[in-house]
Amino acid sequence: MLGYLVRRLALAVVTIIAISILSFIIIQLPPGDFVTTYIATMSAGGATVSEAEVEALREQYGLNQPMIVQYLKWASQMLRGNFGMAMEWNRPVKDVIGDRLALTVVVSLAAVIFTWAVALPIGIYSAVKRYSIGDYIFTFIGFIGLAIPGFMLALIVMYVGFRYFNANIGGLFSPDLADAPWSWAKFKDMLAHLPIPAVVLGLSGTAQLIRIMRSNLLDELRKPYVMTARARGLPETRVILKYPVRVALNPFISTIGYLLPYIVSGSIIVSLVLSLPTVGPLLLKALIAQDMFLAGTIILLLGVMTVIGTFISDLLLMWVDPRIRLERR
Amino acid sequence: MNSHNMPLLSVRNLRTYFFQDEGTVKAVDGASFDIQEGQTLGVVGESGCGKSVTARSILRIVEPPGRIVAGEILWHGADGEVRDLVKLDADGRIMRSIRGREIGLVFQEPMTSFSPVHTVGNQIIEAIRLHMRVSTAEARRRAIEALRQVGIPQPERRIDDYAFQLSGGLRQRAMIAVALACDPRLLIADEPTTALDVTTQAQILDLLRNLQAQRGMAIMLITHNLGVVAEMCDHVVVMYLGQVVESGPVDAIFHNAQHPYTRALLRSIPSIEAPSRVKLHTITGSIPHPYNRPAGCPFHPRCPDRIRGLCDVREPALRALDGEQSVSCFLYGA
Amino acid sequence: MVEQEIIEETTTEAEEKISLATAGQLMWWRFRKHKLAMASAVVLILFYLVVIFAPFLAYVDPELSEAQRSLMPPQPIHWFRDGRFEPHVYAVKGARDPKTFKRVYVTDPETIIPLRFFVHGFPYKLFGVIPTDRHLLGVEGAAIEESLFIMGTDLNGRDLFSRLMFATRTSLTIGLLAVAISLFLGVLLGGISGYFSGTADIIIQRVIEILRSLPTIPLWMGLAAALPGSWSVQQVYLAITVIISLLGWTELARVVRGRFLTLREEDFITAAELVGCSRSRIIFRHMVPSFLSHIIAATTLAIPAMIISETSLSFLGLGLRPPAISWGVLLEQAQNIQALAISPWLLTPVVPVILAVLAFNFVGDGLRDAADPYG
Repeated sequence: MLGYLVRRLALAVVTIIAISILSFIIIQLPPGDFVTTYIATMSAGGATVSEAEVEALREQYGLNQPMIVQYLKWASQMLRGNFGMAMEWNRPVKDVIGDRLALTVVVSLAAVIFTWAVALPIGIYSAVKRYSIGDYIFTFIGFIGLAIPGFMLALIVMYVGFRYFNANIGGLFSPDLADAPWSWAKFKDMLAHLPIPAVVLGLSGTAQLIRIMRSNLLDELRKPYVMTARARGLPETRVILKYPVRVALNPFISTIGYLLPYIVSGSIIVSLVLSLPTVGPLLLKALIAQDMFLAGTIILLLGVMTVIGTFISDLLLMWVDPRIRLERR
Repeated sequence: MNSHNMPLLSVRNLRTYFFQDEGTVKAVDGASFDIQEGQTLGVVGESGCGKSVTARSILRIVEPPGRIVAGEILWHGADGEVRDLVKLDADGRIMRSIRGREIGLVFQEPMTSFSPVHTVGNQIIEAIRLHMRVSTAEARRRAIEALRQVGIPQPERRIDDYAFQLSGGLRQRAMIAVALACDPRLLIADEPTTALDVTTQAQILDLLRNLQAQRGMAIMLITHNLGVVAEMCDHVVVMYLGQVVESGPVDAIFHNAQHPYTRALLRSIPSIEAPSRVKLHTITGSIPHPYNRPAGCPFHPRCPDRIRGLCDVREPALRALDGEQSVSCFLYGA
Repeated sequence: MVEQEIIEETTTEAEEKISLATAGQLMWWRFRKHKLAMASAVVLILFYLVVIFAPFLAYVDPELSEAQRSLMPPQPIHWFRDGRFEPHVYAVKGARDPKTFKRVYVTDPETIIPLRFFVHGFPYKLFGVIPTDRHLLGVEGAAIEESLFIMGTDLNGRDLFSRLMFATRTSLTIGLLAVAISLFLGVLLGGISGYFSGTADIIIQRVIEILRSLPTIPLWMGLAAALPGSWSVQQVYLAITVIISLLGWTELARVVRGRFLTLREEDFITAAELVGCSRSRIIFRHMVPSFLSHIIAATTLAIPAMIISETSLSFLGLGLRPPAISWGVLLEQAQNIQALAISPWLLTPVVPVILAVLAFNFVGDGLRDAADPYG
C-alpha cells in the first residue's frame, strides 16, 4: 500500500514539474523576455511603470541569469501563489482567475459525475444484455457521441435552443445574477444551468466509458467466481451487482486518470461556445492578446488541477481494491 | 414409484446445446445417469466431452447461448419431494434454495473461483445467511467452523483474508468450505484437483473422502484422471461427445470395460507394472470439431471395432448388461 | 460414407487455402465480413477522392469574396424540367429590405439557369502539375459566381461548397501527416521501450503516463498561439501538424510496446534467436510483420483524434489561419450564435467532420478485429 502511494505521489509531483516546464516554455516562446512585453503592454494600457519597478521585476524573475535559474525563480514565485499581473485587466492574475478556476472545477466535476452516472448503468446493461436491441442502440449512440467533438455538440445545442426554443442556452448564471455576490439563490441558479454544459462536455467521455465498462464487465462475467456465486444460490441480479460489477468497477475508476484531462481540455473550448465563465475564454483571450504570463499560469493551474484529481482517484482506487491495499512492498 | 427407493439425482436423456452464430454445439446430447444417496459417482472423459456442462445443467447455471433443450433432472429433495430441475425457473426461489443449499459446487480453478475483491469469509457467510436463518455473528461462527473442518489453520484469522493471500491448496480447501457451508446432500466437484500439485491433490482428495464419511453426502466427481476415479469412486460414468457411452460400478469399469472407448481410455494410462520403454497407447484420431459431429455413434471414426453401415448410420442407445453395468455400443446389440 | 469423405475433402481444401494465405489476405478476408467497416472504407475512399480532385469539384475560386453575396442561403437544384432531365437553378437577386436594411435574397423562378457538366472555369493544376480549367459543374448563360450557391455563402460572400472541397483537402491531409509523425515517434519509442525494456522502458513509460495525464487542448493552444504571426500558411500548417502529433504519439507507442512485450515471449521468436538470427532480422523479419496489422489498426483509430484536434484549434482561431481553408477555419464563422441563427448552413462543415471521424473509427475497429486472430 505504501509502495503504491509513494509511486503515485512521486508520479504526481513529476507530472506537475513537467507541466510547469511546459508552461514556462510557453511563456518564453514569444520573442523578447516577458517582462519587456509585460511592461510594454502595461504602458500601452496607460499604466506607468517606473524604472525601479522594472529592475525589481527583472531581479525577481532573474532575467539576466541562465534559463534554469529563471525557471526556478519563476517556479518559486508560482509556489508562493504569486502569479503576477494580468496585463489586459491590470489586476493580479490571482484575482482574474480566482472564481473562474473554481467554476472550471465545478463544470468539470459535473461532467465527470454525469459521465459516470450514465456510463455505469448503461455499460452494465450493455454487457449483461449483450447483442440485445438496447445494446445496439447504446453502442450506436456511443459511436455518435465519440464522433462529435464537444464544441460541435455545443454549437448544435446552442443552435437548436435558439432556433426551436428561442432560448439562449449559454452561460452558467442568469444575466441578473452573473455579477452578483455568491448567495444561495446564485448557487441554485448555477445548478439549474449546469446540466447542459455537463452533458455537452461529458458525452464523448461517456461513450468511451460505456465501451470500457462493457468490455471490462464482459471479461469479468466469464470468470469462474461469477459461476460459483451463482452456484451458492444467489439471485442473478445480486450475483452480477455484488461480484463482476464490483470487480469491473476498479479499472473503471482508474479511467478518471484519462477522463479528467480529457474533460478539462474539452471544457476550455466548450466554455467558449457556451460562454461559460470558466478559465477557457480567459485563456483564449490571453493567448490572442499574447499575454503569455497569464496564459502560462492558466495552463499550469489546469494541469495541477488535473493531477490532483487523478491523485484523488488513485486514493479512491486504493480504498476500493484490496489487491492494491494489501500489496506488500 | 416409492420415493424412498429413488436415487438422489437422476439425469434422464439430458441435452444441453449452445446456439452460436457458427452453428449449434451439442455439448450434452442425451446423457443419462443416477447418483444414489451417499455415493461417489465419477464422471470421466476427455476435455470437451460435456462433463462440466452436465454439472452446470444440474445446477441450472448454464450460460447463454447455452440452453437445456430436452431431458429431465430429477432431484430427490430433503423434503421428500421429487422435482424435475429442468422445469424450474433457473433464477426462481425453489431452484435457488436447492443450489448452494442442497447441492454444492467446487470448481477447478481455486484462484478465480473467489472474487478478488471480497474476503473468503464474506463469501462463506453470504452462503450461510442466504440459506439459513441465522444472525451474522452465528453465520460467522459457522463459517469459521467450516474453514476449520476443511483443515485451514487459524480459521479465525484466515476468514478475513482475500483469496489471493492464500496458497493454492488452502484456496481449494476454502472453496470446499464454501460449498459445504450449508451441509449439502450432493457435492459436485468439477476437476477439483487439476490445478493443484500432486501432494496437495492427494490431501484434497483425502479431505473430500473424510468429509463424505462424516456427513454421508453424495459426491459427483468430474475428472479426466482415471487414477482419481479408481481411488475415490463407487460408480463411474464415461462420457464421450456429450453422451454416456458406458456406466457401471468402478470395479466393473476398470476390470471388465465393454465400450471400445472405455477400453482405449484405460489402455492409455501409463502403468508402473508395464515393462519400461513401451510406447504409450493413444486413441487414434482426435475429438471431432463440435460443429460437425459424426453421424451415428459419435465414437465410430476413432473406433477400432466399428461396423460399417451400422455404427456410422444409427445411433446406439445405452442398454443395461447383466448387473449394474450399461453400455451404448452395437457390439452389445444396442 | 462417400458423402462424408467428400465433405472432409472440401474442408481440408478450405483449410489449405487458409493455411497458405498471407497475413494480409487473412486480414482482408476477416475485414470483408465487417459490413459497417466496409461501408466506412468506401466513405473514406470517396473523401480522399475529394482530396485529390478538390479544385475539379469546386466550381468557383474559394477565395472569391463579394459583400453583395454575403450569407446567401443554399440554393435548391431542380433536376427535371417539363418531365425531361435538365438540371437547373433559379436566378437569385439580392436586395436590401427598405425597412430593416437587412440583405434579403429573392429567387426569380422566371430566369432559369441550366447546369452544365465538365465545363471551363477558374484555372488550376490537377494533381498539382497538369494545368487545366475543367470543372465538374458549371452554368450556362450567366457568370457562375453570381448564379450557383449549392451550399450557400459565408459572411464574406464566398461559396461554401467550393470552400468545403478545399477544406476537406486540408483537414484530411493534416490528419494523415500528423498521424505519420506520431507513428514514427510511437513506433520508435514504443519499440525501444518494448524491445530493450530496463531503464529506457521505465523512462519512456513515465513520459507517456505524464503526457497522458495532461489536458492537451490548453497546451496545444499555448503552443499554437506562440507561432509567429508572420509565418506563411505552409509553415503554420507544418507547425500545427507537429504540435498535434507531439502530444498524440503516446497511444501508438503503448500499442507497439505491448506487442513487442507479447511477441518477445513467443516461441517463434525464441526459435529465431536459437537458430542465430541477428537482432535486426528478428525485429524486421519476424516481429514487425506479425504486429503490422495492429499498428495499421491503431493508426487508423488515431487519425480521427488528429482531425478533431486540428478542427478545434482552427475553430478557436489558433490553428490554421485564413487564407488557409480547413473544416475548423470554416466553422470559425459559426461561433457567433446570432450569425448561426440566421444562417444555419454555416454549420454544414460539421457533417463531413462527423462522417470522417465515424468512418475512421469504424474502419479502425474493423481492422483491429481483423488483425486479432482470436477475435
